[in-house]
Amino acid sequence: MQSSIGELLRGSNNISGIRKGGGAIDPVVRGFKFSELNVQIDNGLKIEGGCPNRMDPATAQIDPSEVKEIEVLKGPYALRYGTSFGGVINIKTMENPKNEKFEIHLKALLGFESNWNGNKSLLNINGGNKKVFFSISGGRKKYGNYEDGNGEVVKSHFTKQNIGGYFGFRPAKNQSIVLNYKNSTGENTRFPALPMDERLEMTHLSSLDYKAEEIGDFLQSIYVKLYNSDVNHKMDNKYRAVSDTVVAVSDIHAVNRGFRSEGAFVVNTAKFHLGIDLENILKDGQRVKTMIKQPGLPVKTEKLWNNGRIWNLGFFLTYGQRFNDMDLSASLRIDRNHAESGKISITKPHEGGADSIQSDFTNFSFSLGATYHFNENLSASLALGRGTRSPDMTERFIVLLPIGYDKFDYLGNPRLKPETNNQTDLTLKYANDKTGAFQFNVFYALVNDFIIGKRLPPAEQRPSSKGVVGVKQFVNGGNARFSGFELGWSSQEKHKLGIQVLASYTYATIDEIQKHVYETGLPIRDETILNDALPEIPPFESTIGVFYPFFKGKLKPELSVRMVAAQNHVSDAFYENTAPGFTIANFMLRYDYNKNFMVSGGVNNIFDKAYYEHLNRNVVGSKLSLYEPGRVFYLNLIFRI
Amino acid sequence: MKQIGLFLFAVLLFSACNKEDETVVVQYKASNGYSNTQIKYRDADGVLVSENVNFVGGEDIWTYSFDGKKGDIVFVSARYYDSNSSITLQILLDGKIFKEATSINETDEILTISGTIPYYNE
Amino acid sequence: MKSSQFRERYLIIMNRSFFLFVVMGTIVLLNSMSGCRKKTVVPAEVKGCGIVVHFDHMNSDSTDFYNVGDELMFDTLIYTNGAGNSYLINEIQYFVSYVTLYKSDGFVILADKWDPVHYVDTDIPETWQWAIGDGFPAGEYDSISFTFGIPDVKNISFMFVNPPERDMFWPEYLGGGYHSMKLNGKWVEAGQTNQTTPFDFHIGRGQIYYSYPDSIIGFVPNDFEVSLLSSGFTLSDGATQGISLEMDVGKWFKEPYVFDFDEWGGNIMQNQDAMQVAKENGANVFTASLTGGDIKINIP
Repeated sequence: MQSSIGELLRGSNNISGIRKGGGAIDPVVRGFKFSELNVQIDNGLKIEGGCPNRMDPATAQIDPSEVKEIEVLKGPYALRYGTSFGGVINIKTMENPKNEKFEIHLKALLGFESNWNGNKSLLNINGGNKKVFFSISGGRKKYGNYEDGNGEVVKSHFTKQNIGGYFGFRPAKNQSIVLNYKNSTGENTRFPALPMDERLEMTHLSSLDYKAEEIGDFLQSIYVKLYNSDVNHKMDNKYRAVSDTVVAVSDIHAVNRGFRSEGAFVVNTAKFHLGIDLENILKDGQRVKTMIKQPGLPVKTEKLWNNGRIWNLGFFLTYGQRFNDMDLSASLRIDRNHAESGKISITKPHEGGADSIQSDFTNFSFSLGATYHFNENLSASLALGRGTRSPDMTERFIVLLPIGYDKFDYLGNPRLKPETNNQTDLTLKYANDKTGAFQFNVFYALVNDFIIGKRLPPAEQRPSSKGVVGVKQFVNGGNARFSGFELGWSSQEKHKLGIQVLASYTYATIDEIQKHVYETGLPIRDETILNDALPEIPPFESTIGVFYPFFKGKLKPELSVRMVAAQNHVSDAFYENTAPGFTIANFMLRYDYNKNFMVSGGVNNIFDKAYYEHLNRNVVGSKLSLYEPGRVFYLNLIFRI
Repeated sequence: MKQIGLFLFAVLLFSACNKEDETVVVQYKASNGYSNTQIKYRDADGVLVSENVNFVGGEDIWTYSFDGKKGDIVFVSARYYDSNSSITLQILLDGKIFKEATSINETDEILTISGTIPYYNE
Repeated sequence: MKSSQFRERYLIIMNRSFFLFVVMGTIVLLNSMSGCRKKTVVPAEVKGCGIVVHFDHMNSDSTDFYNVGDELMFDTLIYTNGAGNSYLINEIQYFVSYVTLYKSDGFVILADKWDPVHYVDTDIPETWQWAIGDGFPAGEYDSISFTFGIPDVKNISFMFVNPPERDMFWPEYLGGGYHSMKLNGKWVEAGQTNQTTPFDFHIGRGQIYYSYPDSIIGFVPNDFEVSLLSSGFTLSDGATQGISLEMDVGKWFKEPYVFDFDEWGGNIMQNQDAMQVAKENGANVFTASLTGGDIKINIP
């Protein structure tokens, strides 16, 4: 039972998440995160979150109940979907049914969770015929605070509502036009690991898709998508004790609009995709601090973003062809990236002034891949890729906010250069009726001009947020290296007893980094560390799942055990804490009463273990990490007609 | 049968929707004063207003009330110049004391009480 | 060999080569993960000289015969100032900033590489020592100076967000920024025998009033320069030089002007004339001497 897509993805191989509160877990794929991941909805809709602390990552804008499929393409290889660096997460929410006669269906869901006292409800009406199709949904979630395995209450409550739908029309048998709109609203969401909480999040997502298939022998298909995402994000510190002295309220508006268009061509047996995409991000926001203890009630207004704008125009060409037992693929992409902002002073913002804030880049990316099929059971793949991404809005323009996992205010750097991921993947796959399906993948990535924070002396910049120890500015910090593997095995489909085993590991270092050594709070010397661990890299983990269907599959119990190793490979330069390992067991039972009614329920964290993920942030004001929920019982009732 | 089930589900679904009442009655109160006192307060529109109130004999009470919302900042301060004076300030939310403070013989010192109207019990 | 047989044999070789390549590649990649790039710490090279300032507090107004060396005793009514006020000291908090070194060859060095502002609090031992920096060139120096408080142009409201520095804020309506000093204590008012009255001997941005207490028409900066060690000193390469900076608290109330609490009262934040007296006396409050560099303080 997952309350967010980030939590849903956390169960996949080498995908972790950063928890800062009750919901909205931010995904991490092989150690790559934030703007290093290209997250999009329905093949191209991109969302720019409003919160500088990522209370509202793109994955938090879609409810898991709306998801039909999530496609995760790891590495810098999938260049069709925009700039690709660490990977692409494509969240699909639309279906394109082709009913002969007009049909209408209804789905209703009621869900309950213990521990959180959470409840959720969803109503969906969908249907159509050969000419038109539609889907309308509305849902609500309300979760309270949860208890961790130690019985400690974690302030995690949130309320979320969403409404939306799509309407499709087929002007011809091989063409479709779909208009899609979603609105989601989040209120009073607690984030104990952040200095503020989300008061209101209002998101509007809209898109228009045109698709034409089976056009001809040469031009096979055309796809065009126009989209607009609009996020209003309001957060404050009114739940915190510090608001007895200073009340801080931040209001941010972020818009991301653009389009993606591609055509598929076939020349002999080679298939090409040629396309263009544009992403245009606008962001503006401010923080108002009211000093309520001071006579005169002084108010200070600070700009968080001053009409920041980034647009990215990309051209891409992909190639794929099969030669006997060999599949070859190649992609090429060129991006033109432009960034600018209204007048800001990155350095010494309290003293006024302006910095050079415009930058332009032309980035080249490419990928090559080959898969050899030894026989119908065994294949091996090799992929090489180089993906370049320009710095995002936060890395370029943020003004003094504690957005990292450490206790520093971060300062943007308009002069940042793009970072480039040079990666290779080797994959072995083997599957047959006797042994099941096996997949082993190993990867190595060398990132040039890796973007990381570097401490600034107080003489240059003092922090603006309470509780932080200093200021770091984003810089290009040289080379970083990521390597690791994923292993998966699932049992044969013909056997009733189903078993799945997953294991993954990522190891990441940075070639050179400065460490400030402190004594009694004062810096006493600098050290250079070679090959220090990168911060926020998840440890080794393995999951074993077992299920068995009864009564011709109507009743299906499933037990899973997740084992996570301790993380001792931590960053010295960032004074990162190690994290202990843990093992968690979950049980789920699903019962299909009939084609109209289904019940599922279960227990997560059966033994009520107290644990936290290495990537969970620390609770503000303490050195303790945010603990995960203790034992949770859940029940879902689904009604369909 | 299916229609009944559907109806019941719809009722269940939409019965979960309820909106909390965000309105709170805010009252600022000043009492126990013996001289001319400058009172400043944040009014219903968020503006800082200043009034001079002449308290006599310690029995006069000054109040200001408005309908606030959860999360609103509430603020009131007082300052007197008579060396033998005093003042008690209170902020009440829906009739209950939220903040309170007293100053006695602290001439020319500003007494301030403030906060934000709480959202709900966590 | 027929061409089809050749092609078949070629494909077999290619297949096996590819498979071998994949296996070798996997081994290479796994090896790269095994940590053959070892973590290494490279200490920074130390250049030039370092300077550490140690803050001491004494009071020459002591009337206690046993108070040898005039060490500052807190919360003890053993002091009498030039105006005859009997007083005690509770605590002292102040800023010292922008230390400047004057080389004999005319070179002026501002110690602002890391943090040019330091907060001193008699209740917080960690603040009694300040490593103002390193990398100062070796050689002969004429003198050293610093700003008591924070220079007016740098003294900006909300620049400190964490305690204790944050709590030195000077109210916005009185000019904003931060206190130069809070010297808190109590004195025995005229006509009293033992009853003490609190005083807040605070220095910060002064106000010019059209009509007291509301009509402020201007502000006056009250930070000031203090110059010390005018007999000269030498810094040696690679060494850390200690400087003991001593505040004689009693001098705030006597040189060149006698400060009478009965005349000025206990609160001078809105009295620029009183703060002007404090400012001019403050220029004579400090003395400095050179010490060994490795001063360690015992932190309880």
